[in-house]
Amino acid sequence: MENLYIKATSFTPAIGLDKSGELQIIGRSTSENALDFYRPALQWLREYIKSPSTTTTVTLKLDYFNSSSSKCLLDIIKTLAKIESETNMLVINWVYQRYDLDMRETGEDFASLSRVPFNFIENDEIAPN
Amino acid sequence: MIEVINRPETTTIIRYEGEINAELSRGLTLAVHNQLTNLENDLLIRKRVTHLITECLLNLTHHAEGAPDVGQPGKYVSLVIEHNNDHYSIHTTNTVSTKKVKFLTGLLDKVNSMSSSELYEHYMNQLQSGQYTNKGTAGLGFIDMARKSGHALTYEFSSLNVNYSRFSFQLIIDKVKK
Repeated sequence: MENLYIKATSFTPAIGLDKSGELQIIGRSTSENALDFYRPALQWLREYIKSPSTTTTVTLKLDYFNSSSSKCLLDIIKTLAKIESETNMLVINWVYQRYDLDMRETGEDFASLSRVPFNFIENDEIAPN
Repeated sequence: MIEVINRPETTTIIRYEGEINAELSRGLTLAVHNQLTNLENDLLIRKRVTHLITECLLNLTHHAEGAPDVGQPGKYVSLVIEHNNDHYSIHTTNTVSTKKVKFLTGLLDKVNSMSSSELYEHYMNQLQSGQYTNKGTAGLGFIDMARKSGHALTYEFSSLNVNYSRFSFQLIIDKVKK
């Protein structure tokens, strides 16, 4: 399978999905058609989890996302959660700006619903497009 | 037409009346974001207000309807964002089919009846297992609005004719973090 890279716009995030196990979603996600936007990424991930890297590191670094996007993002995380096993490790880094308690809380909600431990990382350099 | 009002004596930040589509929605979000950057020093409040406006616009884009038999063929909406010393308010109107009024009333009354912990549980249930399509998330947006606003969602339906009703909706966001 090929790697998947989607460039950011002012209302959709950059997506970088690399077969090596480095996965990133960075930016702003306020598209009205979140399902259509995230469909290629979800399809890629469903293929990836059949034969994942020994370690999969996911970085989620989002400035804003709407409720439509939140459903898609949770689906992505729950898909990745299937990777976790004795031989395969999943690391999820939830990066948020220090003042953004709402984003921190949303990450905690996603971690709870997906039953995957997140690393919560403060970073004030999340730059929207 | 988007009207950006900068006069210091006014409390209206933006007023928009016209048709809505994805492109206009994005333009309005950007205009509001820029205005709030000048108006609001508290980064969390600024972000919360922008987020809630984004959710309101998402609802309008997905659910506003045209009403050709009342001379309104396009998806005509209004959006007014105001502030005073205590809070921001977001007020929207759009047309909906009268057959949707009962469903929306039920959805909003349910959200408004919940305590903060019940709202959280409802939010988590909807996030986990609620249906979603490109036309919306079956109420997740309203739940999110109620949680982040901390106030009841104020609304009213007024009948245009037997087929269509006007939906007026208001959201309040305090300037002091809760």
